[in-house]
Amino acid sequence: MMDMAALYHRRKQQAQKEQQRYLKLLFNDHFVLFLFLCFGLAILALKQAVQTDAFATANRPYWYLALTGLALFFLHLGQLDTQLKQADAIFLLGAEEGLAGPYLREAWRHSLRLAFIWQGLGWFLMMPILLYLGWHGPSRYGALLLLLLAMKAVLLQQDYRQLFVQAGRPLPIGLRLLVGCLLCYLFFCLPELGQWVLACLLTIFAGWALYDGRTLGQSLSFERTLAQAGQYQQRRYAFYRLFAEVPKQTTVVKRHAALDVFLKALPFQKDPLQRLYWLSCFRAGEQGRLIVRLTLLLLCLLPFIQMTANWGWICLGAGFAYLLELQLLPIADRLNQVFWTRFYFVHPDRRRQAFARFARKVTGLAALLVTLVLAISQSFLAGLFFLLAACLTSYLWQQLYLPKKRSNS
Amino acid sequence: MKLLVHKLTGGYAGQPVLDQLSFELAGGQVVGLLGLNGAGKSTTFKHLVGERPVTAGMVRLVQSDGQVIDLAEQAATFRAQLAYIPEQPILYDELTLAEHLDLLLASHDCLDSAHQERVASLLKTFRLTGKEGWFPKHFSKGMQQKVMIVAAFAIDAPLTIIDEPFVGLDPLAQKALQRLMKARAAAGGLILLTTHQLALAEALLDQVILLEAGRVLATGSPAAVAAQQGLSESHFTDLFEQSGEAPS
Repeated sequence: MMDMAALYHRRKQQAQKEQQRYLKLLFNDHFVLFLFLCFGLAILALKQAVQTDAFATANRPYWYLALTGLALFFLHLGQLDTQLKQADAIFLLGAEEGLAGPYLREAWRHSLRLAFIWQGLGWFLMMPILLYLGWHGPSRYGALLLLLLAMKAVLLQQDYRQLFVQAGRPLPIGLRLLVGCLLCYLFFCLPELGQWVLACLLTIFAGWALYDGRTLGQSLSFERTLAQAGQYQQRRYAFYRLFAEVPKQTTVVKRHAALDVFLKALPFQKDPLQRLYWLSCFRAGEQGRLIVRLTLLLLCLLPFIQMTANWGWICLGAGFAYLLELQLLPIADRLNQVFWTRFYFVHPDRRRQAFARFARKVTGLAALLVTLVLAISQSFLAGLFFLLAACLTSYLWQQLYLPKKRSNS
Repeated sequence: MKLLVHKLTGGYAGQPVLDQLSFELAGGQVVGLLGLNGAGKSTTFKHLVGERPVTAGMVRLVQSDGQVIDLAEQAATFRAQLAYIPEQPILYDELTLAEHLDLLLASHDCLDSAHQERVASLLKTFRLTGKEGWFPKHFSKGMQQKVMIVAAFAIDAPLTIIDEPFVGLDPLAQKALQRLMKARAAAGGLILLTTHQLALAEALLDQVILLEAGRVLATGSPAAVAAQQGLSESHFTDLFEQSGEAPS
């Protein structure tokens, strides 16, 4: 009988090798700069919060809300890593019981270990805020860690169940989010004893869920398992693609009805090169979605950001434009590699000019939108500083960084 | 051995393709699921191999010893009885040809000298000898299709499902594949395939199931199906001429 647990181990080792290669690509200047910026901003924000007495008792509900968001973010990390491949549905049909048994059990154990590391990291990041909120002594921190681990185990077990034919319908994502949100917020609001009771109850529930999972049958739902494995890989690549050019990546092509109306307004006859960049941005790959998400996130956060000095808005504008320009780079690379050379022979200078026009429009539109909200929610001056910083960063990126990058490549 | 499909209804999210599809096939024959594009041939196969869930209806395999295996209840046991060649070859990026075949044999618990000899013979038939150390991912479409065929015929599956077997194959490989299918059917296996090459189908198939809009339109030998469609026996290749005409 084939050793299916060993097969999972071999695949895991291969994936780890690939991951090491990607991590080397990821820790480039952009990602290090991003981490440095995030760390600096977090320290400054904490310092400012302490100075302005933001940790006062009256503000606690807002902090608990923020901590709930952080907990949910980390609960989302550490997905089920099955390492299943499309070809398994053909070449491993004869060993399906082994796949459903030792193989997936090994995958589950490995995923749980990784997921617990993520929860530990989230827990560690929450500690400074909780200290300022008056959580002294290790007891409450222990309860929080137990809660996070139990919640993650339940979530992972739910995903594991979905791989089998016998599984019922999964809980809607919205309901999962709501339950997670309520449990976390309730936990932060409870006194120490209540927190321990809640954490222990959830641990018992997690234990029951794990025990119940043992009764699952031996028939896999290949449709769901392969879709889950594909999504997991896509998410991994999407994360690496945020800051690095990932080789062997596959792009998902999608049409969005709302965007099609906008894209139709850009006829090929007028500026074909620029229209191709727009189409590639919003249909293929993650770039269009990432830019929209980044802009929406900033728009949602703006009313809550309090900056006493204008340099804060300048930094925010520069960082925002920097991230947008960084996201747009893979579009130019993708079209350079595939389209321009094979189907459409355009002089490199024309391509560069078209890309610069496209990037200016994307960054300009997003920055203008943020500026408008900033001018309304904060002050006209804050909006002006933000816009100027974004425009200057975009200009410097186009004039200094891109030519240097092209000459190196 | 017998394959029973009873009132199978299915398709994709919000788009039903199969409409209470029913047929019953005995082993020892090559059966063709024929129809125009969108008739439901590939969807039927996807349900049979478990790529799509059976939401309504029943799919059963009755083995020669009388044991009944229900796809919905014993999916793993059902799938262990079949070999499947999809329309587009699906291969591992990181495995060589030899590793693909070893993995397949190991998964069916038949990594023995007899099966390895059979693999060697199949590789020779499809002129893949000497390429065992190559990565099939880099092969042409036709070569990849040959890998899938070798894999399907390397194991003793009672039910072999093949979606468009002749696409991309050279004439020698097409003839070799026909011989293999006939031999497996003669040994008691059931071969279920789809094809649009009616001339090949006429010579190869023992039975035809004609599909239209997810339903069985006609069933029987190629000659009988041609007769049911108002055609003479020699005009089987004109099977879709009338239904394929654009409406005036």
